[in-house]
Amino acid sequence: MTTQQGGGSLTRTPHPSSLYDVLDLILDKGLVIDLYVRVSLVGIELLTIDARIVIASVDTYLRFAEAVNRLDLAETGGKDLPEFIEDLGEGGGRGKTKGALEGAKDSIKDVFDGGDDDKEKAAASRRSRSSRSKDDDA
Amino acid sequence: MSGGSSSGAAGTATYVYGVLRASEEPTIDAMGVGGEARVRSVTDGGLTAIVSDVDEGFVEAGRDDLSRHMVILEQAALSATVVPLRFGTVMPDDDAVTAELLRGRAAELQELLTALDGRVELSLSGTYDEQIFGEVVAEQPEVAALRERVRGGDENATYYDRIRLGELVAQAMAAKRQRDTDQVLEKLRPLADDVHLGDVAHERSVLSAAFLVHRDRLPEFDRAADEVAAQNRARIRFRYAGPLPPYDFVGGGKEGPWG
Repeated sequence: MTTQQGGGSLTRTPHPSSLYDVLDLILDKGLVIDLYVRVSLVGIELLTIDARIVIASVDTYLRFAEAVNRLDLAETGGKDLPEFIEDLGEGGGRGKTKGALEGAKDSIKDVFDGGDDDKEKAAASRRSRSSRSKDDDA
Repeated sequence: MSGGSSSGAAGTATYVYGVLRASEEPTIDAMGVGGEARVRSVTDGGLTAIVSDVDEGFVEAGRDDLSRHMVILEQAALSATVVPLRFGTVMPDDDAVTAELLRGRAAELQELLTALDGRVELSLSGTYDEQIFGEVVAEQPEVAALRERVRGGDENATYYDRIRLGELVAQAMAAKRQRDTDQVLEKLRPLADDVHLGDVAHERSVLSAAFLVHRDRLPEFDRAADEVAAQNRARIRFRYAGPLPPYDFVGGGKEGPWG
């Protein structure tokens, strides 16, 4: 994972650490051999439709407005904006999310929960929404 | 990884990860996509395809499979020049891999391998810290004024002002994004043979960039990327990964010639 401590050191990781970045890296990339791309990733539509935010929308404007309104300029700002990328980047353990992004974030996690290669991340993601049951937040 | 068994047995198909020069064939000790067979290779005419057996009916992949696909190609890219194939490429059997890929597209593959020779992909993405909104308020008097007007006001009464405020913030963010992306590229583009900018994925995303870089320049690129991160330490969080197979530079994009 990238860290920027001390002298601003940037760590190069072998591959992206967040699930979002992994998907962004791999999906729709690579040489296509006609007729032979036949395996699809379960839930890929959820990711591409829900997680790609329309920047120029009224919803986004209202969220931006909320963000600057809540900003306490004397201190560093609040933590009310959606942070789904950071959540994924930090193993899902850090976050609070609000509003429209919640669905997208949970969709992504639902797709990936239960992976046996990264139990810690999956567990962290379950912890992050422990106050709600898994099925009532779609 | 070994040349090993020829698939084609009933119920089995061949998942293909990527192609490289037979002379550079790496050792990959891993389970393939689907989790039921080890990674092996199919070689013909100086080209090697990295493959594994999958069940013939295998059509839906999950997170583990995505991870396997990525890590297998990543291991190959550690030492070899690799042409990665699109995730989910399954051919009927090894004979099809030989006939339709290694022979059928030999010229194209050789051309790509020559163009990519010794090069890997480095991925750099950045996200603004929350305090970026403080920057916007400080820099834009109109934003500051509107903010004062709507703060604490009635939600309905300030609806249009809030939309206007958010729109101004969005515009300011777009300008910042452009400026900061330019600054990053100015530093890093000279060290890369090619750059591909991905879509902005998040309201606070700065950029998502893939750089095609020769292995020999990795240390230099690392230093430059580190400088960029240091310069923006308080405001942008960078994520940096590689060396990766050149996913973004084999023409596989939606708009690419093969798309």
